[in-house]
Amino acid sequence: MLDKKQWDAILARVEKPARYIGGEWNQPPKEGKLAVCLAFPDVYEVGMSHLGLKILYHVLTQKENVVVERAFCPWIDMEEEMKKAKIPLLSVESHRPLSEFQIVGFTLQYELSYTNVLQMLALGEIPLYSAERTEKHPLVIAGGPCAFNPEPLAPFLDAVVLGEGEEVMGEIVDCYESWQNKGASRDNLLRSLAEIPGVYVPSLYKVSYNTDGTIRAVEPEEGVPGTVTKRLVDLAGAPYPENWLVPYTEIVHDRVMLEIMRGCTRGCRFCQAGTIYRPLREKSQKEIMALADKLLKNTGYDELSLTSLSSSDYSRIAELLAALVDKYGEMGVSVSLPSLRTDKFAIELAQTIEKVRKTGLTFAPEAGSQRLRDVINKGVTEEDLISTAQAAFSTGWRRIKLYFMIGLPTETDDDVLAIAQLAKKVLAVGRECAGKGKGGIQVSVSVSSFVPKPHTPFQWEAQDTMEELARKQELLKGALAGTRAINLAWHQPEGSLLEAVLSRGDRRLAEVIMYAWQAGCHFDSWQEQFSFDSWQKAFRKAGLDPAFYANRKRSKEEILPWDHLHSGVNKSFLWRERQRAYSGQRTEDCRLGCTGCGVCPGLGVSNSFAQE
Amino acid sequence: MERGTRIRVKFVKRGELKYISHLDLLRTMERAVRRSGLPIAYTEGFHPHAKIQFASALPVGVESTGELMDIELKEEFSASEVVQRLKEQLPKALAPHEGAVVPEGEGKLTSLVQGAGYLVRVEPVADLAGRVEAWLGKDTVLWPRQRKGKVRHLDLRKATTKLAACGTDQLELFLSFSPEATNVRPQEVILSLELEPLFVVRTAIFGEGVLLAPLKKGKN
Ligand code: SF4
Repeated sequence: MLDKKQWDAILARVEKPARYIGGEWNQPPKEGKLAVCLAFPDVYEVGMSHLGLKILYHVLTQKENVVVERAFCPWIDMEEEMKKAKIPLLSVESHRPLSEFQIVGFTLQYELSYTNVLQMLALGEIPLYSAERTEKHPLVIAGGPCAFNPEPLAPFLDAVVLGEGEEVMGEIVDCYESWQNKGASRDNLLRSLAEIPGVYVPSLYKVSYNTDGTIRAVEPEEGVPGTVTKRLVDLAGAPYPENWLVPYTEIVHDRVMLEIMRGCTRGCRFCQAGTIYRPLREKSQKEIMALADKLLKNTGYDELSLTSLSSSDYSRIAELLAALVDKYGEMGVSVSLPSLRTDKFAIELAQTIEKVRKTGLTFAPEAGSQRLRDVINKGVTEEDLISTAQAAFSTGWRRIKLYFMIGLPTETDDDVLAIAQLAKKVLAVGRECAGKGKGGIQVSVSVSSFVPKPHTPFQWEAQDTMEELARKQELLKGALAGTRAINLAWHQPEGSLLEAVLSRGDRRLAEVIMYAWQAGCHFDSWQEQFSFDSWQKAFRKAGLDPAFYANRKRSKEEILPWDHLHSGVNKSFLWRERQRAYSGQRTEDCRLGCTGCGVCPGLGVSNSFAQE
Repeated sequence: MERGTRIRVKFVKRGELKYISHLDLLRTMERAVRRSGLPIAYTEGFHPHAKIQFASALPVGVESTGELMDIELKEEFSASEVVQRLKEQLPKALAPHEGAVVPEGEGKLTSLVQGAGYLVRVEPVADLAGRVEAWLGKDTVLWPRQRKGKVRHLDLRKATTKLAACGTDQLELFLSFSPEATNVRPQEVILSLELEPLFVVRTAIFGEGVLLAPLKKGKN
């Protein structure tokens, strides 16, 4: 039992104690025998901003017999306090130790959170390796975008969910319950789980390697499916939390997030989300309006964000925004779109929602030159961007933020310099529109390093080395030096390298993750906590070379660590897209006609567009 | 503007909710009012804010039996209905329990508030009363406070209008909110007595004008 007095004394000492107290408005009453803990391997403010967690929490709340709670990774100060006091990792709701749950489900949202998974298991007093866990321990599962290549975490996870969790989560719980009733062995549970479509049990697959380090074969045990295909749900009428938790302390996305569609048809070649969430499914305007009403009433939030991968592509977006602003504008509710596409239409949308408060606008041309934008299939032209900027500046916006990547396949120095040229053109347009004596035009350029991701046409590519990325950053800095109205922000190449290693890694990396964690690595996505040095030592200790994973071009024949995990998009399509990239050929948006990725025929689904 | 109402609400802050900051409390109350459907008034301008005003920020870690806030509504409402509707939208640990319509012309809540009373529990000390007496006998008790790398010295003695030992493990403390003594935290006074505050609760807010019973015309 938790010593209340001791806990209270700890809360009084830590920074942001509200992270650990729970009791948020709308917390469901707890009842039921089967306890599931949704674990997010980052701090409370980050995890609570994640829509997937909210949806699964809701789905499990609805389920009879199940108690669902949450756990987050305690920040360094709290971790020290808890270790000192010998308090294990606790859930937020009932302050129950992680090890007392029947199922613990991690969200894998980004690779740099992997050490936090180990951290939470260890603090939760759960054996780290799946093979060490017995019938007495929780079942440890994971899902989220990184689950499409969970191999680096394979030995730590009992089962992995591929794709959308709304339905399969319930099936897993049912499977667990019937296993519990049978009183069978843990092996028996893992085998039954592997029979559920979309559930991958890593321990039932044997991976062998060639002498050059590439994979020779991935062999399933007898009776286990050779490939696992992702799960999809019909978004129309899909469960959506109407009653979600309202945190006391400010979280990263502190507003109602209303998912208006899932999937994206644009086919940007670097984008993993664009593949794994296919096909496109739009919710009806009616359903969205009804949800908006309930969510705003039940939470008391005064901001509503329409989320999806590219919300301005929603077929009825103009009507929807107008209807929302009309209905809730008077009540002081603001509506926001997290991403805008680069055209004048987007500015019209932005004007609907930001009549008065014209903060910044953000666009993502991703590459500086037209040539390179064709390579990555980002269908934005320079004219688009300039005319969009013109429209924005002349209707009163003062700040524009542009997102770019460096290190994209086929990139030359000219392409890098083109980023600077484009930013300068946007600035010039801004100054022209603003007229004399109306300064204050700001262009922000945010540059990240390209990380090749599994299940994309660039999954075979080499990432630029850190030295090369650093050189390109310097090149860009030089080209923008002296232009004070343009500010440049970039990411450290070390973090991008590690991300590239882990995202396309195989099972052998588990050892590296273990060593890094043992050396104190966790919260790697927090710059002040990230120790590249410790990671390098971990690679050396495991005898693995990060360059093998990050900076090596794969051949068409190579067996990739995630080849047995199917997103529905065929590998042959990805290869074809890669070839088209190299010849600078664009591939159209598949709203305008199927481009043959394989998802729709393969999974028996289709793109679906919003009704009124 | 049509005739609105200003309602003064007294509420508690207890249990683990003592760990939410003043800003967190502000957000929480604003959301609760919005959920209640009460027609709250907003400030004009680019960033409209709900017109809710608190008497004084409660230090993080301190509980309270009677915090005060003024809520401005666009329509007339009885205080009891406002309290009732808010109660339905707040956890017990922040429950409102009294309300009153603020007479027209009364100043802002923050301008009326003059001080607050606290009850503090500490580990038992044999001569608590003696220690308190010695402390009260001093002219000044300077206490360093770090903020953004700068150290400021607050005079705790000057801010303290009452300090009394009750038995060997409790203290009653009144702090004044006069401009020179702003924001002295009860914990700081206890620490300056070389005591460890185990539990601190704000029991009263004092001020001129029409604050709520039992604070009416409270003098400190
Ligand atoms: S199968 Fe065709 S329509 Fe369906 S997602 Fe793939 S490209 Fe688009």
